[in-house]
Amino acid sequence: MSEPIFYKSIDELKRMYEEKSISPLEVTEDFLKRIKKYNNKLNAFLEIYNDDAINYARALDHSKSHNPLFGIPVGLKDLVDIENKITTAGSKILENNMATKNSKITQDFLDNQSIILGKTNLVEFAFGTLGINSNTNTCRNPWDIKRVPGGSSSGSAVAVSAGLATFAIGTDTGGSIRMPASLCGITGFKPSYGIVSRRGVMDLSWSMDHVGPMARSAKDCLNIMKVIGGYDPRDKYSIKLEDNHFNEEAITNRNEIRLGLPKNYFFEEVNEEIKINVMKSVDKLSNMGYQIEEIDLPFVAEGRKINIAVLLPEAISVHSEYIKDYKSYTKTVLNRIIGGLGVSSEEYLTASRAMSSFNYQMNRKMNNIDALITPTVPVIAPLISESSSPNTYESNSMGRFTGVFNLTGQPSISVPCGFTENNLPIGMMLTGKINNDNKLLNIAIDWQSETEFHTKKPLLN
Amino acid sequence: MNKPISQKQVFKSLLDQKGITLSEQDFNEAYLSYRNFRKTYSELMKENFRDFEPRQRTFGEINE
Repeated sequence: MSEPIFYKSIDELKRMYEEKSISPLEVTEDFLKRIKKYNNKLNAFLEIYNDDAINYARALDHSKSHNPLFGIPVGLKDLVDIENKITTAGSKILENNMATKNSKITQDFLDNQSIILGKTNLVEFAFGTLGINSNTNTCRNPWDIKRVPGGSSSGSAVAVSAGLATFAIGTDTGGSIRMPASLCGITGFKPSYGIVSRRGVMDLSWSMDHVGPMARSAKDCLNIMKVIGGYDPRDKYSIKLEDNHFNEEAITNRNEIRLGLPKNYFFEEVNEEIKINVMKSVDKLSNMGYQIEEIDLPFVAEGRKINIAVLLPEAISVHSEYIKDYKSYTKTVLNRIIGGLGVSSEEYLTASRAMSSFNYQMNRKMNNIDALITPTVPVIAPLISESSSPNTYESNSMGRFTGVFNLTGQPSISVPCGFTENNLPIGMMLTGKINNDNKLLNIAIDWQSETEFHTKKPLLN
Repeated sequence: MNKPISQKQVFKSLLDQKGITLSEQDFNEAYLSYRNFRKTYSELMKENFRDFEPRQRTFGEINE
């Protein structure tokens, strides 16, 4: 059965444009109508560029283009600068913060004639795991609107899940693309560190921040990476991969691909339904022909701790110019920032060296493995009504697994792999060798070629 | 001899330095975060990472 416009993939929309069976203006109007219908309930978008998007799409109707993302509607997490638009970071402190130039990825989308629908909701300053933001009205999980969507890229996940954008952009410092992707039943990709330029995207932690795509499939993520992945000489952390790194390459040699199943940590203190569904997915991957090997990572439990220990003083430094306005922060975020006060330079450098030691050990283990398979998160999406305190169990444990791979900088993707009895999505996380992003994306595409979890949609009425 | 300063007092003093005043409830909640983070750093400081420089992610050829 044919998907409605708002659930079509990037390739499907492009084909329809080429066949002239639909126009960018019709697509844009469809999305804006849907946003108008559902955004009040879901709070996915903070700002909707209704007139800009319509005018832009109308002009595209008279263009012909082979740009990979031509006419594709996108939502940008409200950390991403657009010239002459406000970037609030979900905070009252920045409610009048006008960007003076486009971020690098905004320019990529404009160069590709994508249609920027608006800015998506987030945890204030991207500093949280559940998606709670009392400033902006918390986003709601489209699968159960009483539950959190995950964070911090909450609005981007909700927008894609609910068909309010074809794709969206998130950022990921401890899991903030992958966690909400898992909870909202979509695909979220954190590239290797430095692959996507962060120029014009607000920082949380220079060592841990990543920017990446959130979409309905790994194939869509790959298409987006073709546009936004790549060296930016004006981003000091940018790294150069080989030209045309991102390509669809059908996996024809599954039996030569080794997927590591960690013995330690990633299956401890995990919700039973999550564990069962991820292990069923491991069986499925084995039946597909992949080699599954148990892998011993005795050091891995330290990872999240080191991730936070490096991230925190950097975040405090970023916030040094805002903290005098502490009364304007949300309680959750203020709690995290001030909880990290008093970190000495010796402690920060020790944590940074611990990071290198950890990464060295992980590099060694990844020598003979193509990707790791783990759950994305250990807990089911909690109720919003039970998530107001900054120190809930779910809030503190949600990023236990994802944060490890911000530390290592490996490419890491969350893909849907099942549902709970209450029809809440469950995500599986695949993590590849550093700078081997294309291979990981193609493994995820292969997984989705034989499963249908990523095609399921929430019932919004 | 002066009484040793408690961790809570240290935290209060850090907040005072930043000009931050919190309600008792908010202070206690924030202190929980502070205490957890202090535990993390104190554990890390006991270890030895002398072979490593800060924030490295790639290491050339490594053979297990």
